Amino acid sequence: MIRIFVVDDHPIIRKALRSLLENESDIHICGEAATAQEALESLPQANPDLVLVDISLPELGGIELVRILRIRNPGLPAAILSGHRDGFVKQALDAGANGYILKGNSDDLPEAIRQIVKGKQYLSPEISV
Amino acid sequence: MSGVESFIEFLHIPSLVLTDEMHIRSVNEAFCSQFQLARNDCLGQRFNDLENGLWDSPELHHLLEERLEDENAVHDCEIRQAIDQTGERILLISACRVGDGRHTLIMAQDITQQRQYEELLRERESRYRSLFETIDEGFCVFEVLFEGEKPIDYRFLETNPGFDKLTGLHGAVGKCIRELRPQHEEHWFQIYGQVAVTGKPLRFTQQAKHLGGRWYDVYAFRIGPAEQRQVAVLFDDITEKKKAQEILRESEERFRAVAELVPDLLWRSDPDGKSTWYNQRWMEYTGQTRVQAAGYGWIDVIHPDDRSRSLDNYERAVRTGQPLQQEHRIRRHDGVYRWFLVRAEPVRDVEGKILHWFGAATDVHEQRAAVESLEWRVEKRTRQVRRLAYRLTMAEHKERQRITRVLHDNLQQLLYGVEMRLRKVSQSLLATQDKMSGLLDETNRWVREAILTTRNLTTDLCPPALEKDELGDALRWLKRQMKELHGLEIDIDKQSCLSIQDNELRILLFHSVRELLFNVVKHAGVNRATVRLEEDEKYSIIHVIDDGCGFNAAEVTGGEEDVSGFGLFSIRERLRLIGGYVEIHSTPGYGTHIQIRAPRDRAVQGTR
Repeated sequence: MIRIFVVDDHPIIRKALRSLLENESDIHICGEAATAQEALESLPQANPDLVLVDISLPELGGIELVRILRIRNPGLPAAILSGHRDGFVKQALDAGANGYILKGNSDDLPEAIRQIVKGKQYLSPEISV
Repeated sequence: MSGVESFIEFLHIPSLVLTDEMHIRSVNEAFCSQFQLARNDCLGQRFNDLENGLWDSPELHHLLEERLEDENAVHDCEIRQAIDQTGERILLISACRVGDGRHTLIMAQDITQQRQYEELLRERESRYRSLFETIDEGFCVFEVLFEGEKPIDYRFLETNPGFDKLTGLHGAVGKCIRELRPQHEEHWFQIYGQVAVTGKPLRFTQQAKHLGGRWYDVYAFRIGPAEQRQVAVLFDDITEKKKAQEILRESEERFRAVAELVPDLLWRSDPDGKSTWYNQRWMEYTGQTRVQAAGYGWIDVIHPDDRSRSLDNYERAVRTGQPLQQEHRIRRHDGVYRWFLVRAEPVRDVEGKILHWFGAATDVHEQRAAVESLEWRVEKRTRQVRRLAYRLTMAEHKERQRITRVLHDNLQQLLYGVEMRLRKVSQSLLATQDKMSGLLDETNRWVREAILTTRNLTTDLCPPALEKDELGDALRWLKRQMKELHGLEIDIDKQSCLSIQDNELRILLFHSVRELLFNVVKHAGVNRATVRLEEDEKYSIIHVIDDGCGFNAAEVTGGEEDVSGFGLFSIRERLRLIGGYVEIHSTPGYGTHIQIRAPRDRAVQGTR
């Protein structure tokens, strides 16, 4: 069972993600946070296999959170969830993100999660670096 | 005979006694000295043989041998005799028989010099006569007649043709002036009487009312002995000159009257430019005295900042003879400077030579202040317009950011949520209701399309790359956009960079370049353009170049509005506000090259 921790400031997105991923038999949402600070506090207890981070978080941005996670939890993969097709991809990857997943095409999300957990880097097909 | 011989020895007149055979019996010292002969050489000689026959002239022969025979004595006969040592001599010979009648006494007076003087005198007189007869001036000699000590008349002794012409008096010689002109003014008699009595010459000008009212320039001097009371007068008719002087004087008076009436400051200078006269207005305005202002004294009241230029212009005008016009400030008596329009013109004689310069300074201070005020107001308004244009760009960008935020933070998230929910519903229905699943799939596609649209819109409104300092990244993002949306290929070097830390400037430059690339799409008729970034000491520079159809740059950018929709006026004004500028090089048919220059250390004028 792949344990996913979701960090997104929009409750709708968190709810929709939970609802969508629950359909996947091998994926389980083990925790969620609305801010980077919350995530850092909750992550140790949640013990996820992957952190999905929205790029636009209040206060500390998603890419910064990924950078911190790289230092604190180097073995814990983190992927960026973003509505921006370009402009931030390189930054995210340079920060250590294992994947850059575009919002708006949820068909790809479960497979993206699986690939990243396996240790592969995932970029949504529509991405331009 | 010895008595005669002794007598002649005492005479100063050269003399000798001849025998009846014309031998020299005796000769006095005066003769020997006069004719440079030794007495011993003379005595006993035949008179005619003296000096190898030089005394042997037919005239002398006739005198001594024929006339003396008839007349017994001859007196003062003039003989011209060539004497070897002394040249030609003119002798006045007197001779007579003496003693027993067989001896002849000859006295030879040498009047050569006398005759020469007389000749000289005649020549001179002839020359002077010729001069007096031909000169235009009048000349006369008259005797002043006195009644007691009072001069009452004068009689003309001599006049020249000039006298007749200038006075209108003909045949005046021998007549008195009172006879010719009974009403002749008294002062003439006084003057000439004074000259006749004192002998002191006088020079004067005087009008003779009864000689046609004419004016004369007169020089009167006494000639001859004082008792003769003769005066010579040399004079010239200066009536026309007097009239001209009077006309000039009246003209000067009229000029001065006008010069003192006009409000302008007036002056006159000599041909070398040194001022010789100012009107009263100059004195009153500047507070200078005539002495202070004379020459180049006017420089002292010119504003120090205007002085050098004014003096250069003035000296150039004087040197070239060309009229002068300039403006400078002149100090008023209370120390306040006012602007004046200064003009100077040369006044020339009939041959074109400059006689003097005439100048006028007109107070234009109020007009100039009004113009400067207007210019200042225009400049101020222009700066306001530029500031507004700049703020408009920033406001535009802020609005884009706001819309982007709304789209991204609200609408897009909702759409993502809807999409995921529809996906879930679709999955749930998949096994049971194919038809419903199909409808949901279609709905999901619409939602994705909406997401894509909003995503593109947010990116277009506020490119994420613009948030970073490196303008090159934003322009490379723009390159992809222009290619995708408008089919425009942009050549921009991958390494090309221009770091613009100033947020507002970066936004302004980005939107300016985007505007220029839109122009290429809309107007150039080509699908390729080049963007180049560089920096020099002062400016960050962006080049936008295309090989399109070009345009007439002056027509498009010269007006006050963007008549063609190019947006160039707006770009130009916004850049000007920050100290930058646009260079536009475009010719119809030959493409376009636009340079945007922004100061590297720019100060935003008046926006803070």
